Amino acid sequence: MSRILVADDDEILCGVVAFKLEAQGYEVTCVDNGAAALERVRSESFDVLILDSMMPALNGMEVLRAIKADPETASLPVVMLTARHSQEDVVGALRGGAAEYVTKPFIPEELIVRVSTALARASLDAARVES
Amino acid sequence: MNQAGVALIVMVASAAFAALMIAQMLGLLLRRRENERHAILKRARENALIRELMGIADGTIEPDAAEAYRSASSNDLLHAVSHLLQLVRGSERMRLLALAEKANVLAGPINQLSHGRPARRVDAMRLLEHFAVSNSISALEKVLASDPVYDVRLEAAATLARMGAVPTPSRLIAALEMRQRPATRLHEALFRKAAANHVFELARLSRDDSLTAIRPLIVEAIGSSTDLAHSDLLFANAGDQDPEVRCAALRAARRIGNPVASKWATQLLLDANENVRIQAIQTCRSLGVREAIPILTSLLRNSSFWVRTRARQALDELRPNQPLREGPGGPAQ
Repeated sequence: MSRILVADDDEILCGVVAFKLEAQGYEVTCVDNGAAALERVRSESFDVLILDSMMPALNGMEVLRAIKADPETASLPVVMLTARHSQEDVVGALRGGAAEYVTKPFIPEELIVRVSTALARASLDAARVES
Repeated sequence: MNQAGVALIVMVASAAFAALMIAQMLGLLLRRRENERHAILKRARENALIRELMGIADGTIEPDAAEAYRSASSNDLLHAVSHLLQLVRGSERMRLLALAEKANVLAGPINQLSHGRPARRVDAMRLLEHFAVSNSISALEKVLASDPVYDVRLEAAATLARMGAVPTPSRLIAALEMRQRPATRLHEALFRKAAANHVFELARLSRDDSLTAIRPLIVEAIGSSTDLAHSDLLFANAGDQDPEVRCAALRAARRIGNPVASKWATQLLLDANENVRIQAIQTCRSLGVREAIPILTSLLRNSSFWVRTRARQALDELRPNQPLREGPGGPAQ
């Protein structure tokens, strides 16, 4: 069962994402700020991180940069789920290493597909590295 | 009373005071613990409600089997659905809207639209804004038509526009007393929104002589329709005696972007009014009218600083490879 960490300070959004992903068989954990997300990613094993941009403590871009800068966590696929939809935000996040970018309000089915795509790509990358 | 008696009284009073303070502290601690417990329970109820609402919306949970949903108050349901509507889109959103209508959660805020205090009526509109369904739209249309307070009617118009149900221009003019009141940026925004669905009505109103004061606003809104078919109408307004209308026609032509406007926009480069000349320059620049280059060059010596500046910018864009200089002798009429 794949483990997914959702980092968003909106508890209701976390509830919606958790409900939809758990229905697909994923195990979902929620945190409400960027610092907690970084701590959990460093201390536990997750298969995907769903990350909001605007959060207390550390914002989403800072968390993304920290994850990608650390060789231990760099391979973790990050799906940005955010209300920011300007060209700079989207391109900045994808250049910064985000696997997918989804804007709020979001289509739950789309998020599920993006998460499974990110997971599939990550397992392919892992297989390639092993071989 | 001897000294021992006084000391005893002081000791008893101190002990009583200390006991009172301890009791008060304990009371505060208990209350805080109770509040925390209440908040945790409330959060758990909200989470359960959100999950059930999402489950009902995607058809995985039957409403009758949803405990939190069945026991939630109308107000809790309203706030939960309202929050969810801001987060999700697509088919889930449509199902949530249908669910809100079916559960009659909009009855409360719709009733509040007739509350005695205008602020409460506006608060109710803010809640209804997320529910673009027939019930709330018709209730807001009633407010727009008949609320006694002007600001509340204005808020109703803006709310309807945000819900994608902007009223027709005629209704806006009547409800917002636009024949008597000066138009603001909000009025302009409402008319621009209305242009997409009501451009023919705007075209008719632009010919209405009783609406002279707001004709610039109407003509400019036609541009927001981005309907090429209305370029002729803009041409008719380009000859209007009011310079504000001529300016509006030029701005609208720029937004529509139909090259048909090039000819009359070029003619307006020589208009007697400075603002019209500036707008004409901007329109020629935007439409890429290279035929206007000779007149634009002559405008480099215009008496108006802004006309000269805009003409130089337009020429820089229309003739990018040729450096431009003001004509000898400096500015002239």
